[in-house]
Amino acid sequence: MSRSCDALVIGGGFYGCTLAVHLARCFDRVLLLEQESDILTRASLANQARIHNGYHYPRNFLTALRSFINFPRFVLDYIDCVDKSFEAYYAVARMHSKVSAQQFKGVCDHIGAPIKPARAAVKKLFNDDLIEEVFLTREYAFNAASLRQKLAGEIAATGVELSLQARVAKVEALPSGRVMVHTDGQSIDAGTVYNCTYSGINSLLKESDLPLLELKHEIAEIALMEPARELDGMGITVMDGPFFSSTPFPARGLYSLSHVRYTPHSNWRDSETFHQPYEYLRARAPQTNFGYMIRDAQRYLPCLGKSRYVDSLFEVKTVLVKNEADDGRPILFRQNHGIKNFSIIMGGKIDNIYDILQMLASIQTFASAETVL
Amino acid sequence: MSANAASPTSSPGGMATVITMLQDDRDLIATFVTKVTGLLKASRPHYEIVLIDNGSSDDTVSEVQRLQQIYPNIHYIRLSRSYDPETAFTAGLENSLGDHVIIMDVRHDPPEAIPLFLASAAQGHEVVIGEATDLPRPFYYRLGEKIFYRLARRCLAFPLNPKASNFRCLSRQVVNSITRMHNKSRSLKYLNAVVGFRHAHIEYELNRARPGEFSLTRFLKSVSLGISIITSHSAVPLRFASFLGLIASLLSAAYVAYIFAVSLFKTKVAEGWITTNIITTMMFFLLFFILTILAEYIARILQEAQDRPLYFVEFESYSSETFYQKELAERLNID
Repeated sequence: MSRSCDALVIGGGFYGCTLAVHLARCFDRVLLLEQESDILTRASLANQARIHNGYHYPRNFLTALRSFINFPRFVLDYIDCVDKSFEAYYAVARMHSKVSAQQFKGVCDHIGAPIKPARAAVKKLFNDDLIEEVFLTREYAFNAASLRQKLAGEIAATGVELSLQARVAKVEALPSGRVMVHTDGQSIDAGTVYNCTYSGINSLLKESDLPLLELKHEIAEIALMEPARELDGMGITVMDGPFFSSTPFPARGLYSLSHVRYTPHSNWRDSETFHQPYEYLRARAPQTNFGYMIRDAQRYLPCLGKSRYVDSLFEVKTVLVKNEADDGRPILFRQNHGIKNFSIIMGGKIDNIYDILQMLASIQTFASAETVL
Repeated sequence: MSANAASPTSSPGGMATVITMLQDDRDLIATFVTKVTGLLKASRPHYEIVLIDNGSSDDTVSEVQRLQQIYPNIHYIRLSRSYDPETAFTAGLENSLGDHVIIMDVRHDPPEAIPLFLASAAQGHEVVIGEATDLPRPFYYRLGEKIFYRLARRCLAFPLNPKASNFRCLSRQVVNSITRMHNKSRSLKYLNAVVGFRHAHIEYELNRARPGEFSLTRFLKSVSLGISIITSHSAVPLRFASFLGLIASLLSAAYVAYIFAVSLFKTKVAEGWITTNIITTMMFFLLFFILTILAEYIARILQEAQDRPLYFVEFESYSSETFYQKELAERLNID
């Protein structure tokens, strides 16, 4: 069976869905393919659910400032998906931290992000020997389940055709300049194709005999728990080194616990050993590191030990090798990658979506200009 | 996934940590890590090995990082310079996560004894202390030890066990109590005694693969450690100094009275330079003795008053990084 469409997006994560909805404004037939049985079930779901407001990057002023500028916009645009019902605390560790409390506050003051010392009752929850200072900040969490609903609504409203459980085997250039997309059961003739498969980007490139990107993958674990009574309504992040954060995870009504040292289970670079990320994850079936996370975290925050473990989300996290060290998570955008009209988009953070929307605006202008001609 | 809901924190026996210090021990690490990992894996569901690199100048880092790709749960902490062993072990304790924490010497303590320590700890002994069988040592070492333990018995409120080595297993509660004490003098032996808790002892034979080094410098270091333990934790020598001072002043007062009497009742005062000399010497002796003790205390006060961290960490790394990848690769090779 063969079909055709004007634009085709591979991957129904947050970026793919948003992209498809925007493309639907300038193309007649837009197709969105997702290999799972619903949209937003992989990395868009299994992450800390943090909406960054700049606090996370005290050593990278530009990223901090950018987060701070995007924050109110994201909160406004996705207001129904934003959980504001908790207080966000940032604690600075005395030892092993790459910033001091004073530096941390300095950066926040400089970009204008609201920050003030936590009240005494909150400070008392922390181990004074290990924590230098605790700050009350303003940061929210997003609800991936609501985000899924919102996007499903937009997909339906804009007339994007969504195909679930559709795994793309390979893409192929057609002499006409269009792109042929082969899925398990069918071939689709598309005018322009976007690869938004995040961890799967290189797998598709490999199957299609296209040059690979320099990607590094990591099996990451987000543990989910019911928080201790004292910590209900509090999101806590310890800066800035091998520490942890425990923040609300609205999609499940639980709290997440992630740890810089114990969240990564294993990693590989595509340039060294190639694994199909999801198959690799399934084959590994990693055991939870919650036991290690909680033991370390409760040294800093003793009452955390009373939390009750529920389960863990394991997901493949993918970054560009060149950004591995510097915490930078720019949008990756490659137009005409090996094939004309075949582009790659990879975002690292949900709240970075505006960078891609900006890019899309220029593409749309370009596309509509073409239509006029 | 929720089937193991309760297990991560409350599994029977809990998590074990083994801490050791590395100081130019590159060639020993691989055997140590292999043995210890095997033993820990067999006895506890969670475990970690904390390697404190106390300023090694050999290529310890690359050896550890090689092992971190093969074995899981190796936490490597490189201190900024070479500190005294007590401080290095404090760094280990402060960074350990285990419900039971074992401290051992990579050179002399046999890993085979680890299960014994853990078993004893699991029976509820908060502190399990290793007692090493005698190591042949030069006579001045034995003499020095004898003097130290006798003095310690007199001065310290909590007795030290002369046979105890630093090979020991502490419960989380004890580790927390010890790390909460902010003394700059970190003798584990003594801090252990201070915090109390239920003790048990395990005898073991020292690993003779590496002969002990008994140089004069090491002896002098031990002497200074001994002095530091006593003066850090006991006011007895200080009280002794003030007592001596009191006697000396009483004696000199009596002497003054004597001179006064002589000048009153004797018409001809003898030359008497012998008595004068004796008294002066005595006084100087006492004076300097008292000064020595005072100096020790001032040194301690200075140390405690300097509010700086006990140690600095230069670099740390953790092994989960590439472990599964290696394991998978190995498995594929076998298949």
